[in-house]
Amino acid sequence: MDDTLIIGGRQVESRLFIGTGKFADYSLIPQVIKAAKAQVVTVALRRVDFGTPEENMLKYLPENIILMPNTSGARNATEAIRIARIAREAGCGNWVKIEIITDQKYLLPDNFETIRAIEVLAKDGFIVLPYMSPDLMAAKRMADAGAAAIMPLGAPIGTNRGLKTRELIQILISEINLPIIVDAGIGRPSEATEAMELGAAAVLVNTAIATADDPVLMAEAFGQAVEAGRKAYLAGPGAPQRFAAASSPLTGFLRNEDGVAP
Amino acid sequence: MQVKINGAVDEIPDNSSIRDVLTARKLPVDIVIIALNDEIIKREKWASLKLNSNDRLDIIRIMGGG
Repeated sequence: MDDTLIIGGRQVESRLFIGTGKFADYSLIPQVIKAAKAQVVTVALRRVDFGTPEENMLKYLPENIILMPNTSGARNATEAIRIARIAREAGCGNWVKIEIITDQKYLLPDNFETIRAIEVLAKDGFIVLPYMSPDLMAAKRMADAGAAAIMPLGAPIGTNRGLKTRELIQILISEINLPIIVDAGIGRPSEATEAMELGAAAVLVNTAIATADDPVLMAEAFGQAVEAGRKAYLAGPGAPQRFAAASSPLTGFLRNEDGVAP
Repeated sequence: MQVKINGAVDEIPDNSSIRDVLTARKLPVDIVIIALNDEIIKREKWASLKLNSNDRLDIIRIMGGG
């Protein structure tokens, strides 16, 4: 079966996207990417902190990945656009995850500023993947503005709480004609499977892998979970029923149809 | 002269180049990205490009993020 994910004209081999934050050691990252069989990998840009030693994280990333710098730290569209352009100039390619946040408690994205940023960056040749609060009207406007995919949150960033926005994500999957990628909140492989069974095109996982006791093993588990969920979605699950429906014949051995022993 | 480096006012010698600033701060030049007054400056120009008073220099790097 042809089940190719295409984003911005590019074929994406793996439906598990990986974030690279919070890893205890950058040297874990190539192992995690390999174990997860991930292809799309996010990175962030920051002003250098003169007080701490710097390591080049790019040297840990394999050659064949699609780099997706995020605009974390941006509080409005103008800042996000600036970060995206810096990332492209720095050789990160033309994919960008728009992330615009002013709410420091729940780190919920600003959909309005995000739509503004998409309008500018899509026209400027970027493949734009916006991180967003799952709202149908906002998602439609993001699609109209030129987004290549829509990335609704399952739960607030880093909470490992799972698909708390399940109903709203389901609406996006059904109504938006773009890949829907569940970004943020997924804490366990079973939740990644759940998102994929709903029909999500992919999931983006960072904290759940980076903060596991064994991140490499967890990456492998997530890779398998995403594949399983995708296959289940394609296979078309049977409908839930209220009452039991026997899987084995109940009659004709010890009793007849009328319940009376022969 | 005074310039703004990563948002903070700093005093640097007149005629300093971008590379001079990086060297003075012992920054590994292979991993940073430079924006001067919001414009990205390509690596080849770091040694020759001199800073002016009140310039805004941003020294940026790529790091892990989700």
